[in-house]
Amino acid sequence: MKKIPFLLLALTLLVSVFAACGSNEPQFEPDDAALALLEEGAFADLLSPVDATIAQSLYNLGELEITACSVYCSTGATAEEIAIFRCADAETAKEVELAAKARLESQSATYASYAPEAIPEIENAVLRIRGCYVACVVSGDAALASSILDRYMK
Amino acid sequence: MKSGILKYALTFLIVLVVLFALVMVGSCSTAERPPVDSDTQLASPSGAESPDDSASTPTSDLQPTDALQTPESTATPTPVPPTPTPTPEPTAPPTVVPASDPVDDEWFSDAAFLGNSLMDGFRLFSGLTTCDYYAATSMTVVGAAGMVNSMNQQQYGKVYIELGINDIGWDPEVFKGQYAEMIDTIMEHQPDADIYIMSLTPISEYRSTTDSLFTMTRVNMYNEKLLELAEEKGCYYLDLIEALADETGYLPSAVTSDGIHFDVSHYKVWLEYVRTHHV
Repeated sequence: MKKIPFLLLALTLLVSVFAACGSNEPQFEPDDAALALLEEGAFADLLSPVDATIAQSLYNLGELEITACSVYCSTGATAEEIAIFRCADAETAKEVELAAKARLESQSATYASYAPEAIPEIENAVLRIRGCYVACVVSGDAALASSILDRYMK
Repeated sequence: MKSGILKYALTFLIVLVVLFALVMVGSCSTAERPPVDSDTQLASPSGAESPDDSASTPTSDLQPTDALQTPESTATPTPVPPTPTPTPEPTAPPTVVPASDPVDDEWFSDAAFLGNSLMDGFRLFSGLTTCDYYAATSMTVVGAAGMVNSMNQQQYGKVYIELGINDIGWDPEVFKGQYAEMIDTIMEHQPDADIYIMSLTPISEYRSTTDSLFTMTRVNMYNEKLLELAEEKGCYYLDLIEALADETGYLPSAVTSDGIHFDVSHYKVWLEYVRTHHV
């Protein structure tokens, strides 16, 4: 009986750790990670930044609360893309991860007949979620993109 | 004495009568007289000169005019009414839209932009967000029917179309026919819209000289058909070769990775061209 309050307290602490983005979670600016990927990653196409409004529309994020993002799109010649989102909380991040998966599926359907050589890049895309952060990277070298992301959201 | 007075009186009377008679004869004379002023008129019975009856002289406002004398010569020329200047018919804007002052983003608030991956790139990179976009990668003229249907659920004041590069394998006449059907559908549902047919965009020299299909020769053939179509349908034509090609007539190699699509800087150029070429 005496242990119940302690158990309740422990449970509360556990929930609060997972519910919010605490000190153990990644803390970085999406722009920094995106630039590192752009400069060090393997991209055959010319990638250019798009503004947050267009990025949210591109990923069908609707009213999901995004506190910061950095998205680079290709010219259209390839499906190469960099998208880093920092969300309001972990729950929102899960929603964004689902939206990013849907984007990859849509791109796969589009490029299957338009530019079939883009399909391997899409299938090997790096999709990672850590705390409030979601990263989705389509590049010519998934392993390289993954190692760059490790510096920010391992 | 009395008889003397009577004589003088009688003489005076006779003189008066004679003078009176002379005056009456003068006023009833049919001979034309030269114009006289008021001072002269007072003295005219004895001093004014009477012109020859056959002479043709202009009449005075102060003198009666005999219409029987010289009707032709004295007739005041009837003023000829001025020939009305024909109202110039309003000139329709030329099919190929010339340059004019740039419009702002608000001007595009009733515009729809329809097209393929290049139009999708325009959406992503041009910076224009006040319009509606109906664009998708790999879109063809025939494949755009679904997008056209979506677009036609709303009424627009302007419709811009960028299609054709994904159709470049067709015979140009077949392409033109398919495009014409699409234009007819759009016109039927967008009766108040100005329709801008945008030409195919340029290809890079490298792509053009190494590819059998994506060449400037074919791009130019297709653009000729689009210009014909614009003229036939009463649409406007935007020459994106003029806007986006360099001095050699190709897409600059620095802005493209595949010779067809281009980067953000060139979309800004495209937007500027659209801003400055409108009706």
